[in-house]
Amino acid sequence: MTLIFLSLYGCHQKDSASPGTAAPAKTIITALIWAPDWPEEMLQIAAEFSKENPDIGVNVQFMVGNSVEANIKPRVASGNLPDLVSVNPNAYSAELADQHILADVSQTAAWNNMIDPLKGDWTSHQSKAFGISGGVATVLMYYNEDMFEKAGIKTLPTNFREFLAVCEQLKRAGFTPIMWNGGFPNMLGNGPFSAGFANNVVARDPAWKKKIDDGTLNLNTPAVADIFAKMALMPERGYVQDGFMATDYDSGIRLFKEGKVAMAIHGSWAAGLLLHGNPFETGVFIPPWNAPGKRVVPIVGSETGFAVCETPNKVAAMRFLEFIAARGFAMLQAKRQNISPFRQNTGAIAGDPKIVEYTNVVSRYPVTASPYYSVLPSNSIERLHRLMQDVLLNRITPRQAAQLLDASVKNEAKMHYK
Amino acid sequence: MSSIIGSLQRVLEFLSQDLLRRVEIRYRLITAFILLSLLPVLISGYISYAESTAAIKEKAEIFSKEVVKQVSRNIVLRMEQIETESSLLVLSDQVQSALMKVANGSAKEQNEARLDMTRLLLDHYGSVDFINEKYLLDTNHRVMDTQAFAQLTRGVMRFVKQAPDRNGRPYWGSYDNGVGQLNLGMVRAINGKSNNRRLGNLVLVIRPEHFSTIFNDVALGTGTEIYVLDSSNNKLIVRADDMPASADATAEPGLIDSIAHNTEMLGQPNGFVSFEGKHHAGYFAAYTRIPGTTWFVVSTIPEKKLTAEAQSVRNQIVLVGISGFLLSIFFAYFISHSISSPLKDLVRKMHDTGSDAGAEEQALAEAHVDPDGQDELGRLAQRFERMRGAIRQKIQKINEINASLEQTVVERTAELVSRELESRTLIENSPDTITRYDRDLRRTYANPAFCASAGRSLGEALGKRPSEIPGGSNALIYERKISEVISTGKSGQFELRWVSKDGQEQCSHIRLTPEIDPSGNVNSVLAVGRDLSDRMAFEAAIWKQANFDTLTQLPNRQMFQNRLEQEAKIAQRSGHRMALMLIDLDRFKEVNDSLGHDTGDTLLVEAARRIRSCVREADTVARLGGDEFTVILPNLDHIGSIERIARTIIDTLSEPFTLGPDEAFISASIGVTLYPDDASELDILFKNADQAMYAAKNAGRNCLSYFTQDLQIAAEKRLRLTSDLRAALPGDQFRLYYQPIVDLSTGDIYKAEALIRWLHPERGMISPLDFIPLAEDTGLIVPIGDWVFRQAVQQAKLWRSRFHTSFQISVNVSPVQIRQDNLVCTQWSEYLHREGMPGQSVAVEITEGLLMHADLKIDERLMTFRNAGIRISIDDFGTGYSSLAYLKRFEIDFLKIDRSFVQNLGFDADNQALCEAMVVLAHKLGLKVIAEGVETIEQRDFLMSVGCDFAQGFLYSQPVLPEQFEALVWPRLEVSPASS
Repeated sequence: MTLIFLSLYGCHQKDSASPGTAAPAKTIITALIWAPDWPEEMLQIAAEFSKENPDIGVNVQFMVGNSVEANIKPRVASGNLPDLVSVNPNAYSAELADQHILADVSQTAAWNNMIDPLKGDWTSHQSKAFGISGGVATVLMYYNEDMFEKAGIKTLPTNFREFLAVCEQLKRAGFTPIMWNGGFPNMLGNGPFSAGFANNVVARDPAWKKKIDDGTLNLNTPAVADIFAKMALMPERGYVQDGFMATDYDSGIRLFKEGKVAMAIHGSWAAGLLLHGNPFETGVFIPPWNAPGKRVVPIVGSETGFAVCETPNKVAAMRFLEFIAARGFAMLQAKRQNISPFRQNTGAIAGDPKIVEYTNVVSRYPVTASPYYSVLPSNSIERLHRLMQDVLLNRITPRQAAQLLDASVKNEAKMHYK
Repeated sequence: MSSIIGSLQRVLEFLSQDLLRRVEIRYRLITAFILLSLLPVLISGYISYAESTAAIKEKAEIFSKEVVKQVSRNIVLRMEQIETESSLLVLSDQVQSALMKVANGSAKEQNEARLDMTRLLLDHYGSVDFINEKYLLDTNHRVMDTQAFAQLTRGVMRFVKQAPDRNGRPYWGSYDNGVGQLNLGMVRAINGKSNNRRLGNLVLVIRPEHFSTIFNDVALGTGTEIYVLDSSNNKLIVRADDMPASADATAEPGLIDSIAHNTEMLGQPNGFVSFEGKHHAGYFAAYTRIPGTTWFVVSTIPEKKLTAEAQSVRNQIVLVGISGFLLSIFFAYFISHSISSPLKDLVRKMHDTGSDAGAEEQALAEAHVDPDGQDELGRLAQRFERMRGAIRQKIQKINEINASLEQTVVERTAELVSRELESRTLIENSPDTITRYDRDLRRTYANPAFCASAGRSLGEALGKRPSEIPGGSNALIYERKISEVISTGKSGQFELRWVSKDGQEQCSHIRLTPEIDPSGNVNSVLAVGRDLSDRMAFEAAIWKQANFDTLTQLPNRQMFQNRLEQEAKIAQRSGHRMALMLIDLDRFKEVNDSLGHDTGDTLLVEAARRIRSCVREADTVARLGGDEFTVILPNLDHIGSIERIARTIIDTLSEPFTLGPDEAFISASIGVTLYPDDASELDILFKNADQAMYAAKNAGRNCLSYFTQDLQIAAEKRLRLTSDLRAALPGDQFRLYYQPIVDLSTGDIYKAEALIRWLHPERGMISPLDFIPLAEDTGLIVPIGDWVFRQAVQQAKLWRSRFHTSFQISVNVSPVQIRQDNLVCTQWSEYLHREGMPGQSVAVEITEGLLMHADLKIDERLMTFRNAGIRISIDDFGTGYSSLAYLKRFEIDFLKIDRSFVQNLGFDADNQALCEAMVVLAHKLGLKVIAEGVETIEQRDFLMSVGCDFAQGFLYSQPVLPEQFEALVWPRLEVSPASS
């Protein structure tokens, strides 16, 4: 009799349970990503991650505009924090970490795997590890070897005077010596400004970084004015392409690839585009913004990376961060061919050999400088963008630009968020 | 009519009394119960199932329709909110202006316009988290709000292109984002406010959760699914489970067809349809269209799920029915069993009783009835009849047996009385005591043997406890033992001791046996005792023999050891001292030898009595054997009392012993040691006493000596010296010195005395006085003496060959050696013979003592010397008994006058007289005389004058090594020894 009872009860239970089997609890995280030229790769990374981690879904949100910080600030202000976010290794991000908005990632495998020279950029004042680099960023000079050969240039320039001579030689040979991104001030900042800052400021004052933080670095100097002056000198001498102030990121790259300019000062992140698929051989050298007799200071730093916010979904976001730094990085590399910021890359493409070689060479320099976005406070970066364009448009003098930049940086040092 | 009724009655009668009665009562009852319980259950189950199925379906339809309607309304609200927000942006002058500048402005203006658009987008949507992507596009679908190189994904591009021109109204749709996921988006054309010309598009990609969270607000039953379906591509674009809307997630084809068919037929945007889903399973779906889109909110529920509840009710009814059925079987069985079982039992018992009563099976057969054709009642009646007949016969038989049994009982009773009398006779005449005690330990029975041993009458003995009669030291323990036997029910044994009326100690070994009544309780204990008094006396005698000296009745060595240990423990606890005395009777051996052992024993008894009289009652006097006694003086307050007691003992023992007609004089040497001052270990303590006693002996006897550390040291020194002495002979540490013996008449020297010296490697030269006694005690004297003899023989051989052909060397022989080594005389004789030396080349010097105590063996050994021609000297003559008898008996050759007589010979007239007398006496007996210790010319002259034959002493030479001896005696011959 008991058996009959049990069998009937069992049937009843089965009938009621089968259609209503609940799916496991799923965590949906939001990733606010700076991926202007690789949005599809980012979507693919998120999809792959969810496939591997069925308990986590990812909403990828893309940043707009030119500034990472401008996208983050409204979210911070409204309290609608994403769970994972693209950040730059600068004072603003560090401050977010110290304000407990960004989480400490020092316990992640991604952090442990990141090469040591980059860790300083990603460590806050309170020693919190606030992000993982998206790549090693260097700024280098790409040049068209065919044009150089045709212009009779035998040796590569090693200081700014020789560089001007090379430009002159190219111009006389009928070539446009260099592409100038007047329409896209980020590249002015990454290129001529970062090179100038490295050779005119970093090389002269070893304590420059600390001084920026506490507002004691004097940028209202002839040396800083010289950075802007050199930037303006190139168009003045007719070494840049026509309509350079309207040349945006894509068109600038296109000019070089199409053989319309002989050189482009650009980041390593564009190496994939600039080195491959060209009808000519491309070489690279260190932007020689140094004075004759002075040792050149190369630019090596971190690219925009990824951070995790202090949200209820932090644990899931950390897993996504680990995925991005492992398998995800390999997927990014397929498109970007960056220099890996990691010691071990499982399946990641190492990057272009020329760039790797270049990076190895400059890494051995006693003094190197970070790109400008890691150097200046975020608001000063936006200020600098306008100042550079104003100098190129002859609205202000280099001296005034230096003065205004100095004021901005010192002002930001006093602000809560830098 | 009446015939019909009559027929019916007959039929009923046949059925009830004939046909039904062929079936047993229990089967009839079970069948009735089952039929009554099953029918109502089956009918009610069927009705309930049919009604509940229809009702549930109806309710589900109403509910589902309401749900999708509510969800749809909420989604529309959220969409409208997004549209309204976007209107503010796209109609703003800044956006319109920026878009125009991007299209027509200068490079700088374009750049600024981009920055403006970025800022506007961030101002509007920067803080919103439900918008995944946001773009402002120009008419060529290029991204205007951000840096120029920013790329749209292919998915967004397709979505924008597929958006129809809706004259400024937003288009909502879904698209595949390129990685297999469906995104929801809104495209809104931006038209110039002035000319209504197309400026670009605003594209927003919305998080699906923004809509799916609405589902959470709706209460859904299990198995119900709700989602948003895009009918343009049949894809599920929003799901309740937050799963990313997959491009592969399509709606069931049956559902699409049903909705399309229904919409087309009814022309309504909502409805309720049924469709066939996966595995041909039936589903119901409620749907409603979101206005202005191709999206439907759909809620589905499996038909099986709906009917599951009705089935559940049906199952429950069936379950209850089956339960009732089973229960009814159980009850039916139970009730029928409660009726039929007693009946069956009754039938069986009656059958058995009938059989027991002797009824034959044949009786049943005679009834001519088929037992299987009857129910229980029929069978009962039949068995009853059979049993009645059988019982009648039985009663008759029982009466006969009763008469026979009564006769047997009378016979057996007589037999029992006879046996009881026999047993009583045995008990009454048993030599063992037999008693019985009740639970109060009072005696309820005692046999004559007990009364006799206790010396009480039976009347006195009964009703008494053992502690009252017979009493005794352990009677109370005996009572406890009896109680124990009563409480445990186990047998026990006991040895009861008491003193009989005539004062004799009695002992009985009693065996206690519990007497258990039929209920298992011990009501009494039987005590059977056997008299052990004789055995006890025997044991006491044995103990006494083992612990006491039979002669003196003092404790013997065994008892002494026990007492010593006991007293030592007491002393240890109390902190008092204890003294141990060892008493040795001096010269007892002489008494024993001279007066006989019996007399010796009498002396020992008297000595024991005297010692006993000198000590306290608590002190222990023991005889260890021979003439050795010990006294243990425990609990000493001051040491002075020891000496007092010891002196009393010495004095008492020095008094004459009257032994029959004889009188003997002895003395005592007493060694005393203290516990724990001298030693805490008892064997060492005893050794201490022994050492002290020997010290007293050495100190001249008849005295007391305490153990001191010096004694200990002397003993240790003696021990070390003994050890060294054993190594001396193998170590070649002995030397022989020779002292010349001068012929007084001629001055010639042809005799010498060999004297041993021990050259100890560490202590230097050791005197013979120190080591000879040791050698004698340890037996080493034998090999040493042997070595001396052989050395002397070799020396004599040498000197005889070199200097004097009749040279003679005398050697001292220890009496111990003569006594111990029974072969020495023979061996020496043989040695001389082997060496080719005549016996007279050697003389042995023996002491008077040896001759004094010589027995037959000594006589024989000395005779062996004589027979070998070896000369014999009596050494130290005059110091002992100086018996003249033995001089004659042993044919002594030389008499050596002891140095004590030679000293002062020059002026001591007594010594002169003695020496002269000895010389004359010796000469009269034919002995030569040698004077020892001659040191002065006066002594020599006197000796010469009285006719002494030989002299030795420092006057001539002290003992010297052989080389010196040769130089002294044969100075001239030394150069040419061959000439002699």
